[in-house]
Order: sequence, then C-alpha cells, then structure tokens
Amino acid sequence: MTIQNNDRLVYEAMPTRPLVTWPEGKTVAVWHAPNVEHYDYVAPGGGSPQGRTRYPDPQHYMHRDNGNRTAFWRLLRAVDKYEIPSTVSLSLSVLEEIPEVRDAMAERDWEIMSHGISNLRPLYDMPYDDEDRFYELSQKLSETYYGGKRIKGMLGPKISGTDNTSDLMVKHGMTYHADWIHDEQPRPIRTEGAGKLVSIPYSYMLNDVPLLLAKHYPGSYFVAMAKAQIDRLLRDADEDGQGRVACIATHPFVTGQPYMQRYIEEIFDYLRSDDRLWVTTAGDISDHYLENSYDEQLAHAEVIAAAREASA
Amino acid sequence: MTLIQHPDDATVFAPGLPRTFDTHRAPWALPDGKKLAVSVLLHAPSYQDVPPAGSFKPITMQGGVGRDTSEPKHGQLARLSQWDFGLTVGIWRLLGIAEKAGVPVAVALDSFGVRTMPGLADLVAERAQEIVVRGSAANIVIDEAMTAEQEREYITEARSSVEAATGRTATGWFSPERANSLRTPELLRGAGFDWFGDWPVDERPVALDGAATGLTAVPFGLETEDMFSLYTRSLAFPDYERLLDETIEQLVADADIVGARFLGLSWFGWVLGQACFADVAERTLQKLAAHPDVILVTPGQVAAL
Repeated sequence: MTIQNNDRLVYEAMPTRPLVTWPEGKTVAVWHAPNVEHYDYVAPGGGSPQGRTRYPDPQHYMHRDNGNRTAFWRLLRAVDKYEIPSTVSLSLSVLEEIPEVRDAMAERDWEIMSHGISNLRPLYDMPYDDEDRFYELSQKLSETYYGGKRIKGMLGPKISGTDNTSDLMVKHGMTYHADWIHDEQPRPIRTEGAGKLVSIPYSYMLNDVPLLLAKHYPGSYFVAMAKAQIDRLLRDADEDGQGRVACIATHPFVTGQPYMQRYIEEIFDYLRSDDRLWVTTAGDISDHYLENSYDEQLAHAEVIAAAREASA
Repeated sequence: MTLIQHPDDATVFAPGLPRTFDTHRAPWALPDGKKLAVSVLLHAPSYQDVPPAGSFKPITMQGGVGRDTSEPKHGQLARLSQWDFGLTVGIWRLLGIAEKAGVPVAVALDSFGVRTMPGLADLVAERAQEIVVRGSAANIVIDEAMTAEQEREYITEARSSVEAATGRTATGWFSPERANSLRTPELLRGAGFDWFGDWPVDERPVALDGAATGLTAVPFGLETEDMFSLYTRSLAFPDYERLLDETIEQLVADADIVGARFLGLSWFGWVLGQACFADVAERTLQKLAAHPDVILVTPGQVAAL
C-alpha cells in the first residue's frame, strides 16, 4: 500500500516548530535553479509538444534548443560575473548528448538535480519497475559523465511523478525532492522505509516560465518579485529566528534571452548585496537541514500529532 | 403583462436574493457615522489530492505550475503543495500582519484540514476573532447534481468538524470555489448559519428572503480577492495594491452619496501569505486601521448590524 500524497506531508505550523538555522548566522538560504532542458523533437508516443500544432512543432523545439546553443552561455556569463552557485535542474540526456554544456557546468561545480531524461517524458503512470530503472539510469548517467558524482535530488520532468516516486528516490540514494513547494523550509517527506527524504522549497513564483511565458509579465517584474520575496523572508527571519529558503528558478530559453540579461544580473547583484543571505545549492541546504534539524522537527511534529490524536 | 417568455429550464434570478439597487433603497448606516465597514476573511483551505469517490470537484481552479488550471494529472504535486503552503506558512504570516495592525479577522477552515493537520485548528482558534466553515476541502465543492440530502450532509459534516476541532461556534460559511447549488442558501439557513460570504453581489450586506430568510449574504468582493486578482487576472502585485487603495478611497467617497459601504477582503494564505506578496496585506491593513472613516469588523458582526 503506497502512501498517499497528502500523507507524505508532515504538518506543523511554522510558528510552533523548533528553529531551523543556517551556517555562520545566515538567515535566508537562496538557491539558483537553472532548468537546462532538452525536449525531444518528436516525443515518445508522438503527441503535440505544446498543444499548439501536431508534432513536430519546430517553433517549440527551436525556441528551447536555442536555450542550449546561445542563451545558456549568456546566462552563464551572468552566473560567472556574480559567482552564483547553481543547482541545475537537468534533462539528463544533456550529460550524454551535449558535452559542451555538461563540461561548462562541471567546470563551475554546478550540482546536478535530475529533471528526468527529457522534458517531454513525464513519469505519470509509469510502472514501478520502469520507474526503478529510470532512477538507476539517472544515477549511472551522472556517475559516468559527471565525475562519478551521484544525484541527490529531483524536480520531476515536467513536474510529474507517481505514487512511488518518493520511495524510489530514496531507494536510489536521493535526499531531496523539489516538486513540493509547500514551505519556506525543507520538510520531512514520509517514505515507506527508514530513508530520509526532504522537500526543498522550489518556486513557481520566482520562476521565469510561469512569470514570463505563461503570465506574460516583463523581466522587471521578475526582479520586483525576487526582491519582495527576499526582503520579506529576511525581515521575518530576523523577527522569529526561523531560517528560510528562497529559490530563483530560471530556464536558459527564457532568462537567457538577450533582453533578460540586465534583469537576471540585477537579481544576482541583489543576492550578493546582503550578508544574511546564504547563496548555495539545494544539496547543501538539504544536507544541513538533515544533519541539524530533520530529527528534531520530525519528532516535534509527531508529538503535536499524538497530542491531537489523544484529544480527538 | 410580460413580453419575455423565459425558457422553462432557466432560473433567471438567484433564489432568495432581493432585487434592490443603489439610490432606490434606504441607505445603509454604520455606528458613529463611519462610512466604510471592512471585514478581512483569511482562507485556510486544504487540498485533498485524491477526493473520496462520489465527491464533486471544480472544473478548473488556481494554483500549480502557473500555466494549467485544469485538474493536474495524478502524481503532480504542484497544486497540492502550493495550497498546503497556506497552512504551513501563509496563514500565520497573514495572521501576524493583522495582529500587528490591530485588525480583527475571520479565518475559514475546512473539515479535511482540521482533521489531518495537527495543531491547525487549535492555533487558528487562539488567534482568529471569528471562525468560518469552508466545506470539506478546497477542491471538493457543492454541486447542483448533489441531492438535497447529500448537500445537507456536506454542510453539517463540515460545520461539526470545524466546530469540534476549534471549540468555537461558527455562524458563517464560505463555499470552496464559491460553488453553490440552487438550494445552497436555503440549506445553509436550515443548518443554522447566519451569513455566508460566497456572493460578491453588492457593497453592503444583503438579507436574503424566501426560503433563505434569516441568512445574510456578506459580499466578499471578487476583484479585491487576492486569488482572483493575482492569479486569475494576473495583476502585478503593485497594481493589485493600487486597486485596493483606489477601491477604499472610492467607497469612502461614495458613502456620502449612496450610504455606508461594505468591503469584504477575501485573502488566501497560499496567495497573499507568500513572502513576495505579503507586504501588500501589511500596508493595506495598516492604512485601513488608521483610516478615520473605516470600521474594521468581523463578517459575523457585519451580518448582525
């Protein structure tokens, strides 16, 4: 019997939790998640890539592939200028098939977060054994092409999953899952075994695809949102002592467009303007949480749940 | 004599809603000559990823990856976890903002949330001036295809769960997605509710008539709602803040012409409680609290005026 998604959440309201703190007195951890994606020209099973035309859809494919040819390199120049550690949400086929991009990421020690094999191959309804092999392949790709490193986390391809996803991620040694956006801190995610998995706060708010592609806001609004988010988190953390997390999610094919460069540089410059910010990777945030806060926060939530159960 | 023959299957006007219009009705008045009554309703709904068989779901709703608003495929956690943000973080941030501004608030809870989120109901009960019942779950709605008995059960189950978990009596109701059947007002009155917030129909409370007599529609505006403005309409947050400011300014001015006005602010923990938007709530409530023509009251108090 697999665990239902609602039951994977470990509820406790922010105001009653034991404090989460970050290294060196930092109060807000920020991670940059560039989504470096590959989209099949014709995806398995055919189908329309975007519901726009039938396959192939060159407008869709070329727009995204340009993201890896030119826009990735422009975004990289901004990342380099501000030395922003990055956790790449990666279509893992890039490791094998686009070595130029892979090597550029490796040179900068970007952390790889799996984003599936291709962003047109979601996990929905995947049988258990197939999904099991998918994680095995994911780890093998990273070990083979990325300096023997194993992958610590995943953002599901096209934000997809199955009821087995959390359990299988743990089975294959992963410790964080970015599909859950229910908090400003990592939180324990219940799994079937003893392995520990946490949610890492990703964002569909500070994210160029929903903001610019789906909702049609200008680049300046991305900056306004990022500043408003970080300012508020810093103030709240100063007030209640709770360390918090913000994520800046980009896609080269959006944020790497020429007109966006000034805006992403403005965001990165902002991240470098306040010593209270811990600009780091998803893996470092979740490792720190696992080592220092996971057990205490889980135990505290369980005490509250037991008290509630007893009084009900 | 009427010229129009309405089709037999049309319901032309909402049942129980008296047809009254500004400048053609006695003006509404507030204590101490105040011009604008404002109620803040904070929504703390929960999202049930797999609703029980036989329940009714909205056709579309907000939240998720930012593009699709239709039902997410099973296995996508985006909408579930985004709504859940309201309960883990968002509602507490908004409650803190209201407390600092000295603004009383009503908080709407549903039965799935109070059943499955340990501590949620107790903490809300400690801090909210009024508790409102908000159905079964964010994504389980009232539907015209329900039988009267099913709908009655939906309403009473939600009420008894929320009242038992909070230890508070609730006189008000808000339907998930504002979804109603033709019978809803009558059934709410039958279940003992004094007011409901679903209908953004007026700028003052409306006492219903007919089978719903005794129930007051306390109109929580749609355009001033954070979910509608920031998600459905995709306003930028500075534009939403300006919309709120200009609404308040105009309502105060209009009160001299058409009588006192009511503004119901319908805000969601998962929307305005997000860090990037929360300052809009903070500045708006502080301005309201300092406004000499504004009275801040809970919706239950408005219904009783």
